[in-house]
Amino acid sequence: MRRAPAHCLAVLTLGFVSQVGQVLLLRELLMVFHGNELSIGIILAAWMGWVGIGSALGAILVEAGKKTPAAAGLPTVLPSYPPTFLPSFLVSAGLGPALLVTIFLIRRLRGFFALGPGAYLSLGDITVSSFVLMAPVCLLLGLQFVLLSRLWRQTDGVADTSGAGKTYIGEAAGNVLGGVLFTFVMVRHLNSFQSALVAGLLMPGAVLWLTRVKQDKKAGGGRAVLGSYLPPLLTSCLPTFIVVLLAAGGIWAVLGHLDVWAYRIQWRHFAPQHRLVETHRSKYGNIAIVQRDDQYSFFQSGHLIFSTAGPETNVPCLEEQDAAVLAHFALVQHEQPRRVLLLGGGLRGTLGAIVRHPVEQIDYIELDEVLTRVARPYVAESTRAALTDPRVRLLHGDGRLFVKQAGQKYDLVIVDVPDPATAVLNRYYTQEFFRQVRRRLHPDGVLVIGAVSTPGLRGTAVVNRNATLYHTLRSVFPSVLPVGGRFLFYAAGDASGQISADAQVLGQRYLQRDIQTEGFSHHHFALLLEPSQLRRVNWILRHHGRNPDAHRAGPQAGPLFPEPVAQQQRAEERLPPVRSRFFINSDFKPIGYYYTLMFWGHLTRAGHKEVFSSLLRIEPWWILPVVGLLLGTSVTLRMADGTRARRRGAYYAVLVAVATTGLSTMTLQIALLFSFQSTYGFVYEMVGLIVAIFMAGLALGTAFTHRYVADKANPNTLAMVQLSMAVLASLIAVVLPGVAQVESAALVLVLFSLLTFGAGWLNGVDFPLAAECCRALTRRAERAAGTVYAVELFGGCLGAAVASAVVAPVLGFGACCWLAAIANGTAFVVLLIVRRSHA
Amino acid sequence: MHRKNTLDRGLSKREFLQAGAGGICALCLWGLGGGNKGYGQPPPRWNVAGASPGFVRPRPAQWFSRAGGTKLRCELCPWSCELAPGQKARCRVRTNRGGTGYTLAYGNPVLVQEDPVERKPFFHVLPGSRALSISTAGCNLECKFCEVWDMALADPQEVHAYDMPPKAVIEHAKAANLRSISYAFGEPVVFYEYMYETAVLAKKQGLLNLMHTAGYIQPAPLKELSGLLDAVNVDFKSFDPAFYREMCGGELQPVLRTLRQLKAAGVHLEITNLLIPTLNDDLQKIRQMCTWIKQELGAQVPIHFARFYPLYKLTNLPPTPVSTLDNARNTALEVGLKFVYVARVTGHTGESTFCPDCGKVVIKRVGFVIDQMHLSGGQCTHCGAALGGRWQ
Repeated sequence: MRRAPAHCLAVLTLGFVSQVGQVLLLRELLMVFHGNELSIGIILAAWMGWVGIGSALGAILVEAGKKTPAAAGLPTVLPSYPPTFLPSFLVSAGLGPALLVTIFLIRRLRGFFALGPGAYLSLGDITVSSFVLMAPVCLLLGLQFVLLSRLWRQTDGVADTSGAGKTYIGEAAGNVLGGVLFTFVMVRHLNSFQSALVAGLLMPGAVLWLTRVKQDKKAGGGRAVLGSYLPPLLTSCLPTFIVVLLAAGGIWAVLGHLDVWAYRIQWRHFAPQHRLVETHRSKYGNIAIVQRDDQYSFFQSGHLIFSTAGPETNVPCLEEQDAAVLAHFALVQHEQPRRVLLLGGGLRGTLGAIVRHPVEQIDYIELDEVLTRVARPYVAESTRAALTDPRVRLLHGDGRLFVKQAGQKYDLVIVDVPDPATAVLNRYYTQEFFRQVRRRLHPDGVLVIGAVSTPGLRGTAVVNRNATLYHTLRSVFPSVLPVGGRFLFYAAGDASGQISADAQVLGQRYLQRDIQTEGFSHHHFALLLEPSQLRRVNWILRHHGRNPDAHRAGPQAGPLFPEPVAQQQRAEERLPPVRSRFFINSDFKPIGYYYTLMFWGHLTRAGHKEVFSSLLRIEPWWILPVVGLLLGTSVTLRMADGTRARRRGAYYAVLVAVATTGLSTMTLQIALLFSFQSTYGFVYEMVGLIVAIFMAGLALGTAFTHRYVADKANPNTLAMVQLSMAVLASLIAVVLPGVAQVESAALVLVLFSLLTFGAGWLNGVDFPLAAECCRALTRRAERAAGTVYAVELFGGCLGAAVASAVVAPVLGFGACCWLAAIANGTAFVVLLIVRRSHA
Repeated sequence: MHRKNTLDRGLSKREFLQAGAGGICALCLWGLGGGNKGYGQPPPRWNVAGASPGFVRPRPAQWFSRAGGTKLRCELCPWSCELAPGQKARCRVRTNRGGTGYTLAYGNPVLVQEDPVERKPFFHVLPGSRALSISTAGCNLECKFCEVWDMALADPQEVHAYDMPPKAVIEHAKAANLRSISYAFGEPVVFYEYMYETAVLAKKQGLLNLMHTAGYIQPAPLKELSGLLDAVNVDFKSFDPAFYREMCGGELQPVLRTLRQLKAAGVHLEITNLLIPTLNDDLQKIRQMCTWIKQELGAQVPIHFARFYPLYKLTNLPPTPVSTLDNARNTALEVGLKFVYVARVTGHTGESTFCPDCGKVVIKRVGFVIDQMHLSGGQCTHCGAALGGRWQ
């Protein structure tokens, strides 16, 4: 009776280690890469790809080991030793060191490239380094999956793939556990190396425990188990484990220093001659604070989020000029702002500038509590004073959620968040968000938001992004004014005339408020609203995005001397309509973050900017050739004669079903997760809950198959599962926009939970069925389990890359669901074709 | 010694200018017509109301010499690119077409804007006046911190350009009642012929010719040009040769030579030094640079220490701490330079001009806005000291 719990513990630990390892490496790599959706996608693709290869290799290894240990490359010193346990232990023991070394290499990564300080890695660099660095850890994890499946099957004494199914369930549960423990415990108390050590010790510990249990059984007169073959060192595993723990204690302390040292190496390459003041781990990403003279810069997940004057700075306004200009420009866009809502940016100087205006209340929302806490000692004196100003209310949480739920109205809303580089950040630049803001504004209220630009506004990506922001704002607000150069401010409001492009009007408002501040004056408005630049920027943004090919062709340069802004505003009504597919950013078609990716492609200039531009051509029918190819192959296979050919056809169909399951699961997960974040709000715990619900669905689905349909593992059943997945995906595509309209947060949570659980459940049902079908065809359990696991991961890898980087932003989350539905539908038809031929 | 004019047909400089002048006359006859849109195509009308994508006006250019066979050597800048037929130079705008050297940066400015002269920046030239700036695509350096990378580091075929021959530039400047033409924001060296011919016309019309350049040019073409120039602002990127090599893809020595040559030619000179954290903000190097400037160019040469903001390839590098700019300014003043400015920190005291004799504010600036002016005829109204510059 104790064997099953021991196996459970081992596979649970595998899931735990896998999740912790993934999050650790992802966070570390994001500190080096640019943290956009594409780099996250590449890292995850590398992860899934290598785990898949690892499991395929594991299947080969186990099968080779069945014949002769030597042939499998196993130690021959124990000729009577069965091949599964020792490799499993060796793989477990290798995980820890592999994780530690990988983390260290990631910290050194920038040193391997000839990059200037502060420069981004190119897409090629990111891809190569992700795939190279991920390989050891992921291969070991993939191997371990197959080895543990085999161990469980051996213990059960069966010939089917139930061991793999159980491992699959356990691993899924371990993933959830790993995610929860990492977020709530490890990230707070352990550095990356210490977390890696914990993971690295747990895995061999669990495997040792497994053998110990087996040995006990043997001693108790049970049937022969693997433990009887253990070498003397391992038979006394408890003392060994104690020794290992003691050693780990010593290493623990060393790892504390190693972490600091490795960070210093990393930052020496990243920002040389800056002092690394502190590093912190928040659930939202690693934070680093660096100092140069009296300036402090804050990095989160590798992004420079802001630089600020230090407490010792005499005139913070000069150091924090960008923030001061944003704040004062925003405040004078309203004649008499009383209540102000600031989303992000307060620590970089925006808040310090706002409190100088005679406002009555300022609600300042910051997502990351850790950031506000650790930043306080290093920000300018004016910011610290502002944080204690009685008019200021600092709240931690998702700004979007706050806007949705806030009961009161504001005169001015300032959105000072980073550019829309990810789907999460993009939520602050969508039509739905602007509508929510408008509901929170008084009738004459003003929204001010900004985005990075270039002074010339010539590049396609940067103009597309800024024109999208302009047109999206314009679709909600009657009056929108873009202003600036390398950073564009947008003031949006109703047509009451509060918003002004007249430097004198704004200067007058500023002077009337009798603001005492050094380093800023009413003259700044004349600089910001310099006519030639102002007119040109307005002309480009108002005109761009109205031609059929505007998203690819780039902007028109406009007339040499465009008319004044007021005339442009009046003339705008007569312009052709905006191409909304490419120039309206919405929660469900987040094109904004795609343009940010394109812009990053231009900046790194590694030749892939054309790729981004070409992918903008994507049309839904592009899927048809792939569908045609899959169906055509299955028809060809059906027409072939002979048992072998029929078997090959069935094998093909099963693998297609497995791959589509991986792909559709990933695309559905992306669509559901991103939509949930937009609809509900980005609450880390809730997002974690949605992921956990998916995993729970996965585990329960697998368990359900084991219990009820294990004896029906054939292409027919698999086809029905595929059909169910296609129906569910279609259902999600249809109801998703409706769910977004639901106001009740609880109802949104329930609906998303149900949909996510359904997707996870069907995925869970599919795996053991497919593995068993595969085994029936190949007659080899581990080969079947390893192959199915690998193919599913490859499908997932493809789904992650295609959905997050292209389909979601360009075609929308609905298209992701339809992609999943088509993929599963195709697999259904392929299985039907093959089934008939089989019959 | 470089040949002054080495078109493949052996065109002399005089012939070249005559051809250029003839061309301009022809343009006048056409009214608003002129220029070639695409090689070998009939000239279109000017299209200054809007720009067209990839518009070029290929035209035989100066400063090419034979390099054996059909190869040509461009002698405009220190790269001395050897070009096989069909090949483009590093600057992207000079090419060998069938054994003849052509420029693709003539009469097709990507940037045309009218703004204060302080924005170039020129602080000792017609304060408070406005200039017409032009620039084409292309650059002969490749700085990782380029602010106009979408123009300077682009092929002319990749960007929208205005159809605007030299005469049109002058007409616009006169019509807008501007005092000067500024060849700035991009790299004017690469549109040498366009700048040269515009400068000739501007001179005749009484407009000042202002150039903002990285100074990466050979002595001979610079000598031809300097007679037409009234003021030059040189981007002196660093006093460290390694910085030029690693961050800009160039060398320091040609820039030093350009600065000396401009000084010797009597052109009003200002210097901009963009201080990038950790890359070129070492105070020792700044001191060496300022000492060199004082010894070689004179203490009266204004220097602008500009703040770096994260951009282009250095998007993740923090901006220059203002204290670094303060230290650089103090160092330059200690060395003995008389006019030391801080740029791109609006509201900083270092934006204003102080009289080197009485120490009082002569021109108080906030960015490019002139708040107060205590200067008359180039003299401080407080003490009467003469300040170097083109004040009228």
